[in-house]
Amino acid sequence: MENAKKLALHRKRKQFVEALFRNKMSLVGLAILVFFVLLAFVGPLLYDYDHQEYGAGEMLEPPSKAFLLGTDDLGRDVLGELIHGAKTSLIVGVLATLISMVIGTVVGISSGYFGGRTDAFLMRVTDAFLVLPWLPLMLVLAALLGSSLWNIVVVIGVTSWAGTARLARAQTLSVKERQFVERARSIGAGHVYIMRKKILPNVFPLIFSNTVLVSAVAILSETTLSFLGMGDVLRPSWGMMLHYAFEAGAVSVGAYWFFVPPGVCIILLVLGFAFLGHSFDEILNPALRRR
Amino acid sequence: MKLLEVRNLKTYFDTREGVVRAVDDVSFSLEKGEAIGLVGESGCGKTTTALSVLQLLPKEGRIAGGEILLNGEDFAAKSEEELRKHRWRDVSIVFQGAMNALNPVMKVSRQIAEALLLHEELTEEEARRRVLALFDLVEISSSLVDCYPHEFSGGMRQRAMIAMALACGPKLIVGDEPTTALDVMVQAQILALLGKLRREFGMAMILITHDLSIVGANCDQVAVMYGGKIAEIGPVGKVLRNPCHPYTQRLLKAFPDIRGEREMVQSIPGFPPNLVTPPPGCRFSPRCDAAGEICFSREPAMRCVEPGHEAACHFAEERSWNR
Amino acid sequence: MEQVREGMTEHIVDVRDLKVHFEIRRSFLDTLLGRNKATVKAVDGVTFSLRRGEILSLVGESGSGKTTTGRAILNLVAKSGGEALFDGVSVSNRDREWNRMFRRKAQMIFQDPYQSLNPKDMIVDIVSEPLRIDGDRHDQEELLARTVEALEFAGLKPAETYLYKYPNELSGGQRQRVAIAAAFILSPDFIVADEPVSMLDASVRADILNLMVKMRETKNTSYLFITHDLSLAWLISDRVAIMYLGKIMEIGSHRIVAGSCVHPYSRALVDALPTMEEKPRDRALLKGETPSPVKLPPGCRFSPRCSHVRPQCTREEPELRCVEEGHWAACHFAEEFLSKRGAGDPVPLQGEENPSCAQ
Repeated sequence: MENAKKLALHRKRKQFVEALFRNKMSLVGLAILVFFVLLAFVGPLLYDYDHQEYGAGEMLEPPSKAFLLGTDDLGRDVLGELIHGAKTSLIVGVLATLISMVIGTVVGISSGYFGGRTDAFLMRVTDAFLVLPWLPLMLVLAALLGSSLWNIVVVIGVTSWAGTARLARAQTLSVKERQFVERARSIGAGHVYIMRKKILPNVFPLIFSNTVLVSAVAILSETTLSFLGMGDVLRPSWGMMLHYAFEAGAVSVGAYWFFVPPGVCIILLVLGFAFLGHSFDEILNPALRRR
Repeated sequence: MKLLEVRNLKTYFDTREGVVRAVDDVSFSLEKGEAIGLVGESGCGKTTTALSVLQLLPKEGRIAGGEILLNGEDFAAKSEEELRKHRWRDVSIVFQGAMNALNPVMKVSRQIAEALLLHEELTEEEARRRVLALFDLVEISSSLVDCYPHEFSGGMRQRAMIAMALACGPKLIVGDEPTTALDVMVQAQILALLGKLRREFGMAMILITHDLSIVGANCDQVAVMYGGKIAEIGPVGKVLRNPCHPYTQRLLKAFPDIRGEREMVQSIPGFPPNLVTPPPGCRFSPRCDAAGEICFSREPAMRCVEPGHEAACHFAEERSWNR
Repeated sequence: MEQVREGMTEHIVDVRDLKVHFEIRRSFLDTLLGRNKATVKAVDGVTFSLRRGEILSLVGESGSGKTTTGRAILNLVAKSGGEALFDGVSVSNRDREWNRMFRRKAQMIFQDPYQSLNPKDMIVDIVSEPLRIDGDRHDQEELLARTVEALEFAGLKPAETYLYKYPNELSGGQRQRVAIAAAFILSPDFIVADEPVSMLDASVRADILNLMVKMRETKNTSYLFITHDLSLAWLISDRVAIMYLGKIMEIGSHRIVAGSCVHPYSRALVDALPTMEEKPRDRALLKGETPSPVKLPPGCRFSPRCSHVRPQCTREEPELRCVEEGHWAACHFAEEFLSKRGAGDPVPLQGEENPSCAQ
């Protein structure tokens, strides 16, 4: 009997994957993301690069056979830094989003489900986080905590959960009124059980597609922080590349190979997440499907 | 000449799963001032039939065959431009669930006036007077003329819908489950109102409903629909007293009658047919407990069991007590 | 207070002067101007009792309070006054053990088969859920066996083909059977059925109704059947109670309601029922609609629409009184209308027994 259950779940997952592959937008998004994931995790295994190796080549050398994308202001291989830096952007983006999603979902569902004073309090907190200008807030926190990679993850996660919370709360309010929730209460289910088994599964699809979009924002946030110099100096990252490019005056000198590749990569990565997120919306919410 | 003649109407929907034959060869006719009830359960094609008459089908729907003759003119062949002139002047419709059909941010009187102004040249003054006259006709107090839909009760909204449908004095009014979501008392009031208005203006009516018990007192003819086709049709008294199609017979047993015997209602086992690939032969045969071999292979033609009363069943005459 | 042993009380459910009032949220302006709070008196003093194995229908139009009454009895909505007793004990008591037992013995069947099942749960999880929440340890095999038993009892055979489906793969009638299976699995003594068939096609209703009757016959389950359809209530119940604006106007056996009800509202309701007749009868329909339960009229709440209204009606609210054996009505002139019953009124019907399951 258990096998039949597994089969049914498998069937449902297969339907989802098939829908994903049928949708053109999600295919493009998936392709982009797969490319960057491979670049970030397989790339470093294939291409050697030492972040500390200053002066491997001349400073700001244009692309040549030795260095396919030229060198940066400290003589390091740009292509190498690009490949090894992909990991930073991806990890920060995904982890920060995870933190943000967890906080946002818990706050949103609790707020919507319990209502009353809990709701009022939690929503005021959420509003505060929504309204505070995120950039100054992030800069202050980064300055206080120090600019290690993990601190950046925490900073971004803690400042971007408010939108998810609002979404989760709105959806919870509507799901809460449906009869199957009342039914659960009438057979004696407790609050936590209902939130976990009834509300969450019905809120999750919406949150999930929203989360993918939040990832795009998180990556941009990391880039911005690094660009402003709050990034982790010890690790290669695209944001830091842009920071150093700016500092070294690469733009005025015309050393396009230094700042264009990381810029393009960031744009593409963000686009990939955005495409995937939008297509999830269509797949998981049938009402939005084009006829 | 009859007011409305529907001949061999076919309305199909093009969907990803195939062509849905929602209405598959339906024929009936209405004289001036006559009322017919289209009765059936979900998916039988009654609403689609009515929407076809008004040409209000959704994008995927199309009339695939047949004729719709209103006063002799074939509406199925007309263009959208021509139809717009006739919609509301000759035929109008009252929808189910008025709350969804009324614009919540517009005053009710304004919406009724809109219907008028689309078809006639009127000044604001004249339009307002006409709206007040319509309110009077449907028994809504004139003091409520500046209200919004949410300020009306369910019954009043339905009356407003009827007022809107009457605005241009149509010869035929289509009621698509007009009383389904309403309380029993309000339902009786609305049906009585429709009857009164029909007699006053000599309007014909197509009443679409799943509730067989309201056609008796409100319609002259009744057509029982199943699987996109008409199973039985005839004067309402004859069909109700002498049902010859097994589906009609079973359907009658599904409605309790407080003035009759206290017998438990019966249900019909099985499911409505798949309209993309309907069963061969009679569409009701999979669920019919009196089906013969011929029923599974050959589609029955309409057989006359008494004057004006027909049923689409191979054994219709045997079932009729009017042999 | 004396110990009440389970099974000793004659009535499984006892409702006494039950009230459920909702306060309407006021705008800030209203609070500022000190306007009085507006209350919706959804249920305003309802009294009745249900014997074991009895089917009682609560009939009423929108705004009558029938649905809220059902929910209040199951303690799904807080009461504002009066009492609702289950097996002699108040349903709003805080005893955890007793509440666990209550949730097992008293279940609800909801109206909308498309909303009462969680679209994310499989059928097997939905039906076995009451057992899992119940707290008693059940092993997987026992859970499965009882789920299959419940599904088959509800007419979904073979159960295996339904277990691992999702609600959106089933029809309305099938979903309602799943809901019934989930209600039945704990063998409850009392079920509140809130319009269980009104969203189903007429040709499917009988099966669901037959199921409920079967449960009564095999397990002696008592039912509170909430509906707006008087003919359905008449068909399936032992007794019928007619509600209007939060109070019971009349209560009596199904026979009485069909043929010899005395309250003007009940009469109007019976008259308004469509029948299969050909010619429209001349009947006096009530004017207007049920008013809002916020502003109740003085005296009898039905007086503004009653065609037999007299001065006393607007001064004094009539109590629910016994007018003959097993027949109660809330009207000052109930006895008078009772004695007038006879010429011109429909004859009380034959057909003694409760309808048994159509096989």
